[in-house]
Amino acid sequence: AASRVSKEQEVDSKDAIILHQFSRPNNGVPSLSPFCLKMETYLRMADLPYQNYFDGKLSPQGKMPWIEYNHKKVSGTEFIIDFLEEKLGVNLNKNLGPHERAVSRAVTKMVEEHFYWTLAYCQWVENLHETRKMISVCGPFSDLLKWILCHLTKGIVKREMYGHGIGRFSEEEIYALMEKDMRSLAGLLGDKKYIMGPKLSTVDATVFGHLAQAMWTLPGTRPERLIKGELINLAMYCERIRRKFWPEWHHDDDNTLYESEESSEASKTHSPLQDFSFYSRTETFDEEGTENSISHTPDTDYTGHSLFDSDVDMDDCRDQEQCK
Amino acid sequence: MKLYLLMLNFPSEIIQNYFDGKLSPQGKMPWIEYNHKKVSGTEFIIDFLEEKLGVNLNKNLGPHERAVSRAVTKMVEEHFYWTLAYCQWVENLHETRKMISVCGPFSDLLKWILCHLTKGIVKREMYGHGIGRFSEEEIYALMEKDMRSLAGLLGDKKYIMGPKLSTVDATVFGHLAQAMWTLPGTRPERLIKGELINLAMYCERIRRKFWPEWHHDDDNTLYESEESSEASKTHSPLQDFSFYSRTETFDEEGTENSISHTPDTDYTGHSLFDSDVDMDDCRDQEQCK
Repeated sequence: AASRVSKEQEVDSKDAIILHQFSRPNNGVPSLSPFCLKMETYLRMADLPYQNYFDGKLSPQGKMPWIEYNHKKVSGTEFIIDFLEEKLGVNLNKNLGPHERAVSRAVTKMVEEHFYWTLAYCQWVENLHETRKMISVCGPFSDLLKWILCHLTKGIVKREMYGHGIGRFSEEEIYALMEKDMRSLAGLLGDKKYIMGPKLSTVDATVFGHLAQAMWTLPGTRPERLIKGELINLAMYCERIRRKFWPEWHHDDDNTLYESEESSEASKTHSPLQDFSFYSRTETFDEEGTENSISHTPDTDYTGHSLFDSDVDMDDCRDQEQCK
Repeated sequence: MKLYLLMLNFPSEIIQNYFDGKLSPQGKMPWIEYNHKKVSGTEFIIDFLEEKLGVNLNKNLGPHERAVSRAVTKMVEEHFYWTLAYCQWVENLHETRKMISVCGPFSDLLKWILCHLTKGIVKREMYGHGIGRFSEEEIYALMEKDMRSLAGLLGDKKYIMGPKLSTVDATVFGHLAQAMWTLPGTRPERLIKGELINLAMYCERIRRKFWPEWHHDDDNTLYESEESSEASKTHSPLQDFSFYSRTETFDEEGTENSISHTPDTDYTGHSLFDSDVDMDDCRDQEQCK
């Protein structure tokens, strides 16, 4: 079983990756933030052991997620990935040629710098009432606190969108842009297994982190209808990645037709992410042919419920939209 | 936006520039008016023109190519754009100031005010966007990665998506032209004219094809060997060119655009408002999308 560090002990970042991110929502999704989900999924794709800190402490630049490794703090998912590639020798893009790498970067930027804002608008402005239900806040006045946090976040998102430029368009125009981005992703994926071909690459972490929001955090919205309807190849892609890298994240409908090749996991009642101390990655290891030699230890705690989980963190919601 | 319109081969009667600095209802620049309808945001403008006028520079692209084209457009407009704005309005402000046209009394003071107002707005917007929270070194690192990506995407092709022009070329040119001609002494300029020379040649190709009136002292340098070398002229502001032959473009590109070209096309479109001193020009430049 995973060893739980007592509250008094500091988890040292010596030779260990500490991932700082917002705490888990209560509906099974690992994160409401595309960038936090991207980062954690990347670590799993690269088979890097890590420890989660859900304390809500922002990076020195006021961003989330960020990591600590050997006492060095790195912020911004692009810089974090560069850092890990340099320090730990991992590289999910090693099979890509120069043109493919350029396309991969362009897709990453379209998703992170444009599509991201349309999702944030849906999640924190238009669909706020649904998002509110997913946030975990406990203790007295939790309903009021949730309301305050959600509306603070909404205000910040709207202000940032105005600075970015996209916020000056009408709601219809924002959704038109969102649809174009999603159709582009569907066109880029086609009938391939992953964005760049049969093998995983870095861009899959980005695309999954964002599309997962449409799949599982935006109930009753246009992006959800689009991805589960016409752009079904994207839904299947998300399911593939979820089942491969997030086996502890279950849904009631795990036996639906999205994925036929994976063995169907026993349908479980929907519940928040469990603490999984044993997680077999053999299938991934062989199948993807990764050359990553960092071994996986049985007591790796991928959900990484840290000692801080039970703390009620007032900053979580408000800062979620600052995830980059 | 201007390049896109030129690429469509429209006669100038239907393209008129208004340099009055009046922002769109959403506070953005550029924007167009057509048949009394206002459209803002270059993506929406292009959609509008495709629908109303039946033009389409992307008609030869398949679905995957169109998706790649959109991704490249977004990388340039939503990410690379900010690194250029940082260079232009924050780090290299003193050089940018020299390029702005303000005349009349107190023009130096006005230029200083406008430039520093713009700098403040750019920094604030970059912070909201997220990229402004990185250090200057990090911002330049991101800029370099974007430029190297563009160089890798172009390769040795004539245009971004192949031998024919497409919509994304208007975006890429609009942005790379800043590095080529408005950021003297900066890292992006050194990079594009040095290691990423294929991008510089690409910019020159497009400049010479669509802006023959836009001259440089070094027009006879080695950037472009296939085009006939225009007589080297002293650098001067854009001239009013009323005669401009587009035959070469027409045949070479094989466009199916049947709008004919008339000899008195005024591509620079200096409008009746030009001589007005417009206080808003500088401050609003950074809102250009």
